[in-house]
Amino acid sequence: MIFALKTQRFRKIAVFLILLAGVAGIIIVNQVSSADQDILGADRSGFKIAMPSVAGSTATSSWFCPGVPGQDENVKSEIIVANPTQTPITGTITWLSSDNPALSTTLIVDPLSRRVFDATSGRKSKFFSATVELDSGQASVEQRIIHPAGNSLALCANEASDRWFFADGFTGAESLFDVLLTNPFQDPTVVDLSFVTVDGKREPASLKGIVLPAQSVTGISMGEQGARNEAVLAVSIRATSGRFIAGKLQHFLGRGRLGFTSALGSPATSRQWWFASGEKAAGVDEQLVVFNPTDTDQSVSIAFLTGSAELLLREPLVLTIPAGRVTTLSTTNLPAITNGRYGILVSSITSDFVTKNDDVSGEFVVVEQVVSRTSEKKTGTSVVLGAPAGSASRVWTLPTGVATGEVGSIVVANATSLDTKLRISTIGPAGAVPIDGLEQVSLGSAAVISIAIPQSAAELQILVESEIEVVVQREVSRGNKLFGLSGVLALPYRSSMFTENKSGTKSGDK
Amino acid sequence: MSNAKLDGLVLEVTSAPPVVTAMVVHEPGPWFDDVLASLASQDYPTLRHVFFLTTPVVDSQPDTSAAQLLSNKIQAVLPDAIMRIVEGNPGFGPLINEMQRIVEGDSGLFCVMHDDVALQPSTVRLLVEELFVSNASIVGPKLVQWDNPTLLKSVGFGIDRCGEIDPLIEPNERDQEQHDSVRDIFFVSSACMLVRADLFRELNGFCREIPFFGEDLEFCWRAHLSGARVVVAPSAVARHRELFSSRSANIVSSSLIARHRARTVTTLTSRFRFPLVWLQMLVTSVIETVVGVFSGTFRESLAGLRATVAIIIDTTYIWRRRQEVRPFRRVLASDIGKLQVKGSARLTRFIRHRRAIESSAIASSTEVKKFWRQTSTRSSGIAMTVIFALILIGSREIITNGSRIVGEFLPFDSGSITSGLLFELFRSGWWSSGFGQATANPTGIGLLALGGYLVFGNLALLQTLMIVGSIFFGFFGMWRLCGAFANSRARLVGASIYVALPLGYDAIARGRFSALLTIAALPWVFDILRRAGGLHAEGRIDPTTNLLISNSEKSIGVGISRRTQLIAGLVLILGLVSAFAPAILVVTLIGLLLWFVASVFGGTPMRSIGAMSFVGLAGVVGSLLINLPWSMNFISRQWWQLLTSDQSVSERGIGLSALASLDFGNLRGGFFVLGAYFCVVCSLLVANSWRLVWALRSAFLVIGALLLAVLDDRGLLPFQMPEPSILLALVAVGLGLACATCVSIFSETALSKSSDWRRSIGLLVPVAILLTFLPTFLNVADGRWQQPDSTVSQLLAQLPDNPEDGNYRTLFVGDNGLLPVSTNALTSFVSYGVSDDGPVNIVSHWAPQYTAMNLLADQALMALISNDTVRVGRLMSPLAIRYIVVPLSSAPSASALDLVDALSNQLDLRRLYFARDLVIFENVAWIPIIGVLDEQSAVASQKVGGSALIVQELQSVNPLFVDDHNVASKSSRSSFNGGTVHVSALFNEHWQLTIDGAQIAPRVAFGATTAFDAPVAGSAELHYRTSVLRYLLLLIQAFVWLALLIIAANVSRFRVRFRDVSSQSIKLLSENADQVLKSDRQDK
Repeated sequence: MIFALKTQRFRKIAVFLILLAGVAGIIIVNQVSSADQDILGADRSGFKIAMPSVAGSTATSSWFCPGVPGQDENVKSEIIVANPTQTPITGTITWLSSDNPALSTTLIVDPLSRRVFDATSGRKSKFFSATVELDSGQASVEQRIIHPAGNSLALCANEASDRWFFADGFTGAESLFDVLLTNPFQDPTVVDLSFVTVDGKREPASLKGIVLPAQSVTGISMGEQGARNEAVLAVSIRATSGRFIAGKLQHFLGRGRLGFTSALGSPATSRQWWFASGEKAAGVDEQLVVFNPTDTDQSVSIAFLTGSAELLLREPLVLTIPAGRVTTLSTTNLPAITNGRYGILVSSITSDFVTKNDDVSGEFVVVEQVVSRTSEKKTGTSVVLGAPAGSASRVWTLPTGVATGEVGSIVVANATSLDTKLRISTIGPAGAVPIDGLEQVSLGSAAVISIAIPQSAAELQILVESEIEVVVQREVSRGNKLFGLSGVLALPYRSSMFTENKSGTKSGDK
Repeated sequence: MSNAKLDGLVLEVTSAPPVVTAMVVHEPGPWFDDVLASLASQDYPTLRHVFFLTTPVVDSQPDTSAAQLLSNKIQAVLPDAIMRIVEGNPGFGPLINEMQRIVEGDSGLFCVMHDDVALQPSTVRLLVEELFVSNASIVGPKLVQWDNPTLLKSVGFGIDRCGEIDPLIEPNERDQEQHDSVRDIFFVSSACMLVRADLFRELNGFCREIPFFGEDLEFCWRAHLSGARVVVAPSAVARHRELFSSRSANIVSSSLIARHRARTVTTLTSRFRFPLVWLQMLVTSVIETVVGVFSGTFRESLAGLRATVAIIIDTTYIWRRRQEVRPFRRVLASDIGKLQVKGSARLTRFIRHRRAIESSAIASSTEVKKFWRQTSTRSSGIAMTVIFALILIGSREIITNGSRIVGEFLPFDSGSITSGLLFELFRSGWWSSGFGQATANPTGIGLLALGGYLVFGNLALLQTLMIVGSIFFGFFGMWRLCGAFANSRARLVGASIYVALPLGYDAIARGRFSALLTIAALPWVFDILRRAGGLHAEGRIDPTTNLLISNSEKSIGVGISRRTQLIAGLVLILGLVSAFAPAILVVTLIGLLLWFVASVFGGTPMRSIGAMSFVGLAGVVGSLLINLPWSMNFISRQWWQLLTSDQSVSERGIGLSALASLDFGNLRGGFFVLGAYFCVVCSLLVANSWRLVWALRSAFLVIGALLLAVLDDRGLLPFQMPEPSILLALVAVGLGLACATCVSIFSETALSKSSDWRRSIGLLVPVAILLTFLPTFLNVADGRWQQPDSTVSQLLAQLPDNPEDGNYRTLFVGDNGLLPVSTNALTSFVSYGVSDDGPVNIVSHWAPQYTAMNLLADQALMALISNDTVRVGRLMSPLAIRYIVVPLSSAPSASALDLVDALSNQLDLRRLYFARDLVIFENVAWIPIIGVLDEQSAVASQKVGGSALIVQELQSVNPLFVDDHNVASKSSRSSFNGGTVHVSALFNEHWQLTIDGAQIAPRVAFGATTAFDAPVAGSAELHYRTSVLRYLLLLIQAFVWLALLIIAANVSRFRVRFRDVSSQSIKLLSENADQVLKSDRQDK
């Protein structure tokens, strides 16, 4: 009897303890895992770099080129498709134009080779733009314009965006500045265009509600839209419906700038912008054009990568760019910078204590670098959009090489505080082969290095591999025996990011 | 036992006819001495006595010890009495009928008596005198109350045409000789009835099928039919105790009384009057049932209604009985009608009763207990009516206009769907929803087809019934489950709380059909477990005091047949619900485990726990078996996902407060539900004895299920649980039980216990319960439980139906909870499902297994999500996907926005509709479900892999078989010019394409779909050839369902109704059981 009572009491105590533990468990699980969930949620929020890149291991890739002029017989435009793999790559190339219907054809690129297509498909139209779809994630595509005023290489975008920005648009001395808006989709896209001059932001009614017909290219000459003879001209284009690709054609005709350049716009602002090829030298006029398209003032710090990390951090230059305005910084006049090569890092410090990835947090600035080299009354101007945050990579590719008739070079900036080794390879019939003497190139922390590519390798696809994240920029000759260099970023690989994105899925379950 | 020596017995020679009293003695009390004394004091000269002594049966063996003692006692008073000890108690009527065998001769008289009737010394004599004076065949005395002979008990009875009895006197009417005239009446009570022996023999005694209650009415009615006269002789007086129910509670049954009355009326009413009389009975009983809700006579009224309806089941018996009675029909039906009370005897009785109530003297004698019982029943009835009214008012828009197409509430009758079409789908060996698969169709489709036939093809009505009816079904399930408390208030509160919780209404608001069915069914599941464990209230009631026994939980044994019936019932319930919501099986298993643990800790006998576990497991397994061959679908690597409808959602992020309040933000005031948790705590603190076990069960269900829900919500389980709405049904059951436990404690202990701290806590219980009701009250006004005004499906009306360019599919992708079709999980945050063109309907509720076509879709969508392609349209073209629909919530998730972002980047998609809550893209690269491919596409179809499709855009020359039917039901013919016919359906050799009768062999296209290379032109016909085995399996399935239905409905109980009572042999245990008493009169 006593035993039964004890057992009963024990049972009661046990059951109440179990129930209490259950209640405690509910509360604790709810509390503890909430934090975990936030972390997971942060990881899930997604991140895209605001520049083209090579996907790497994906099955397919798509490229949207910024556009070329199509009526000037003196101008030749090319689409270069590079296949660094051991297998043939097939795909389609679709030409969009401002006057003709879209035209598609199938393409095949042999292994370890490159193929060049006429960017105008042999037709006449004011502007052309090409879309290339490939059944490989390792292929890369670039656009090249062979222009009497200077050849220009431009990156092609991987995807469309609902907004594009151009920090530098120069119409001084009647320079030409055409914005090319490509709509590769089946639906019309409607965009609003605004621009900023030294007088402030302007939003002409004629530039509101611009309809980009489906599968077409629309060119807008900024000079004809009321932005004539502007030394400062930043452009912002936002879609009210749909997406598009924006590129620019710039023909500099004076006021310190000469030459031709084409480039893809920036599909987003970024908290950081990297420039590998800064230079202070006689006859070199370098400007950083910082465009703040947001509604709030932005402060940016500008640091120069001169090989000393301490120096980099010690005395950064701070600029404040008012909302919707452009600020131009001429580095040539900065006494703190000694002659020579350096890299440049422009960072927004408006919300300095943001721990999450910056581009997700909001909008910041767009920065372009304008370099005009002058010698014996010859001037060559190059405009380079910086590498945005997150674009630093261990692998970069140069599908078109560095040669447009003359020898070019690559400039590599170390974006970290660690020393690294670089390996420069070419991709030819034998696969990826390191260039003699460039198998192990040392690069110090926060430093830049300019590497001349031998003539024999300049025509081939070039691969730059590093032990740590770097930023790679090309400097190629402008062709036609013109003075100066044309700068353009190389293409980073994003395969590591691709892996991270896939980790959140359950594809393996299938 | 001492029996009189009967051989050669000759009754005393006298002019008085011999009278033999016949009495069935059943467990008599002390008052039986008075009965015997009254018999011994009779002044009638030729009076003999026959006693039938019943015996209790223990372990199938009669216990005669008490009967022996009783026999001795009788013999001591009445030495000449004849006694027959009977095995058990086969019934009053059948035993009295034994008089025909025991007593020989027709010239005597039988005085049939109850064992609680005490005669005055002259009663028998006066009855005999009156019999002769009035030339009657049956005479009854005036019956007065046992304890107070000044109050009348009976002076005979009248009846109306429906057999309703009119007692002719007021309740407790004082005897002032106002009824002391001899008069014809319809029948006299068998408590004391003098009847001519010859008539008794001619009519073959009492009706064999009426062992108790109503045998006197039936006998007298037959006597009237034969021309006999029935009179009451008020000068003859007998006291009647009439407390049989206290001696044999299990025999007294309102349903038995009602059944006998209905049978009597239907067998003895003339065939011309019968239809009208039955209709009158039906109408009357329906009205009485409704009135009974408020008058406290609901149970009796319901028994009357059931008895009236059950006449249909009794057809065989009634037909046979009428044949037996036919020879005695010597009097016109109209003459019998004159003997009956005009109008309604019940109404007459009611008016008389009200008049009597006005008399304070009579009113004061009304039994207090009965008053309280009626008050309790009345308040329960009113409360129930209010609750039902609220549910109906709250569902009024759904009832009148149908449910909105939200979530899983897909329309039953959308498009061309009919019951016949559903049945055709069910028969087919091609499961057409999703991308389709060559496998058995869900049982649910067959059940819907059957349901559609039952509602005369009105499938919309069926849907409304299933939605709104689920709430009521859940209520009644909980009512039955709370029957364990044997307290109407506890039952009412438990059931009311269950339906008041927002879970069910939230399921309606969000269109969670699976959850709603689970909520409706789960209380029934637990009720069956309770019954299987023998946890009946009756098992805790003291038969002597009729009060609950306050000790730990006891269970009564459940026989094999009863257990089989319960298993069949559980299998049917789970089978039925799992045909629509397989997740109920998982929830049942979890509930079973929690129930098991709580019962172990509560001290429930292991035998009972074992029985419950066995029945529960058998129910789960059985439900899977009766859903064969469809349930073979669960035999898969993804069986758990299929069973739980798992969408691989890693963290739901709903939050504890929403989970605990059983409200996911769709209803107002859901947080008030947290009050119900007070009852869980309170019941644990206050309950003791058997109520503590119920408190534990409720607590384990609440805490256990809530813990699982929170773990699942936070993604901390290695596997996915069913969606919270389904899982939390366990919490709802637990909360209902907890509230019922509290009410049981405080309502039943209030009268016996003095106030203590428990009573103080009890004061808060009503507050907690009222708070729990609040959300329901707040949401009644909406009329459709906050279902959204506009739904995805409404917006899909803009998509073309059967367009000329071919049938197509629509892909729904995004957050699983927003998709209107069954889905496959793509990532932790993105799911997708497809439907054929035209409005979505209930067929899309079920998704087939993961097939090669899903693999194609997965690859395309993964490429989309990863931003690896801008040609997702091309990748999806072999799947015939023309539209891609992304529903968005008011606060879209990041993954949903990313999805729209990725879709916006696709080159072959056209934005068709772009709104905050819905985005629709059109795939310009689509090809029809059935179409002829151009040459290049035909070549491409032989390749496997999406990369080939990036380069090659598929082109269809022309579509084929454009109609409403699914791909496996193409009955039409199409003219065909030759080429490769592509069928966007999973490859299977049973696909048959014939061109002018020539059969074309199918081949695999794009690694998944089906193509026919048909170089010839002609008339094309496509169909899927269903295996004969499929039909055979369906037949077996139908048979199994029917068999279970028969077992669960316990049809054997109807067999009892048909069984001839005479076949129940009356076993006499007397030594001289076959000896007879000669009662022929010998004249002087």
